[in-house]
Amino acid sequence: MKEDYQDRIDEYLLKRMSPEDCMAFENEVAENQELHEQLSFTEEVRHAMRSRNEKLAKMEEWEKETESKSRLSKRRLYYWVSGIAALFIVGFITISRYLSSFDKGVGTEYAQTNLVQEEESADIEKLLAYNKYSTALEKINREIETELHEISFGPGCAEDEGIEIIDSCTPDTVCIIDDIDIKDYSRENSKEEFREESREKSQSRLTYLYWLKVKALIGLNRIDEALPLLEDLRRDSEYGLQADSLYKLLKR
Amino acid sequence: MRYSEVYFVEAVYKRDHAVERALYDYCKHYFDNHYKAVFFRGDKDKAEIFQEAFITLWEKIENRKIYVEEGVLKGKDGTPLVGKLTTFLMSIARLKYLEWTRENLHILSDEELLRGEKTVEIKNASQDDSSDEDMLEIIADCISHMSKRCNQILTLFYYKEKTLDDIMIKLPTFESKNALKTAKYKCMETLRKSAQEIYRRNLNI
Repeated sequence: MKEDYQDRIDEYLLKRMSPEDCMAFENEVAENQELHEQLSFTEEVRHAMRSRNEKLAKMEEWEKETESKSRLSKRRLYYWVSGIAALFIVGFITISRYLSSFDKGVGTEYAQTNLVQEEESADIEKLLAYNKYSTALEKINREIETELHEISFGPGCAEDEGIEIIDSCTPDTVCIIDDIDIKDYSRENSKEEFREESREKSQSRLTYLYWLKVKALIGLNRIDEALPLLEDLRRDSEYGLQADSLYKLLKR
Repeated sequence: MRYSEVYFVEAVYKRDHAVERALYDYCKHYFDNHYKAVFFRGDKDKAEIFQEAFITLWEKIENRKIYVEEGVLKGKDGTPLVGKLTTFLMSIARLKYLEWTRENLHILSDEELLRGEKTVEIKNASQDDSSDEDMLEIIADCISHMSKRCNQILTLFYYKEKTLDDIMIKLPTFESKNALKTAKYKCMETLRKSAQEIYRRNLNI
């Protein structure tokens, strides 16, 4: 194998020769056995390299396609599993809420009254926390009015509805009002108990509202209005101690 | 879609690209499930062995070394293939593994080395079966064992048809065009000597 032969062979095979040179080269190949063998060998190497590299390129492309398909199918599987899990969770929450509301029994919708009151208190407390004393005071006064009406002018809607529940209770129904299972009491006792319970709750709520009112008045710097309320609260209420401390502080 | 092995050979010979792909998937699936009966290597080596084995099989089909006659797969001397195309693939893979073992003695464990000594004998014996290989097949086989450097140079020159100037840019370790030309010539010379030695050995058997 000769190196100078190789250069001309390469030029000939890669078509880098002029047509005249090509013809001259072909004539030389026909007469030179060694050149002829080297040309054949180089042609075979070129053919083998092309064949091999074309196949390698195709195989690489197929591998990439397979990999990307596999990634896509893994992603799809992930989405399916996530979707099913999400449906399961939503369904579980919905069903458990439905079952828990059903289990509370006939009195649930009426126990909502307590829930509304709690929400109102939370709203008032929020207003006080954000120093919105005027708005808080307005709300407090409205709530106080409602409670006073409940206490002073006889049974309110909630109490009437509560009595209705007691009347509609049968051994087969679940009768829970304000977290009290009244089934154990006789019908008349239950009504009396319920009335008493309602009044006590209203009184307690009123005390709480007055305590909030004190805070709102202090926030508005209306100390003269707050002091009488504090005097009442000091006497045997659940806010007695706090009211007493605050009273003494303001009085200094 | 499932094809018969007869259909695979006929269609691949006619350069049907879709069937080429199907054959690749078919062989890969079989290889992945059965290679452990032949050798234990990591994923990278296993992939390399499969690649070489599949290329060999593919080229044998293209060069009519494996062909279909009257609905039967035939191989050497027109005799029907013993076993399936996939079995033939695994036998090629086994030989490729033996070659790989010889080239990678330095990374084999003691156990593998002991196994390797026996397999070299098998390899030498199995070369008896390659007497019908023509020069082109021998060259293709030698190319698969070429050094990485030679592979790069010859691929760029003869497959991608780059000029020496372009190759110097891609392979900046060559300081001059003459150095590159000399290296290319040496690669060709090594290839020629290896191929001729194998060809003569085949003729002598």
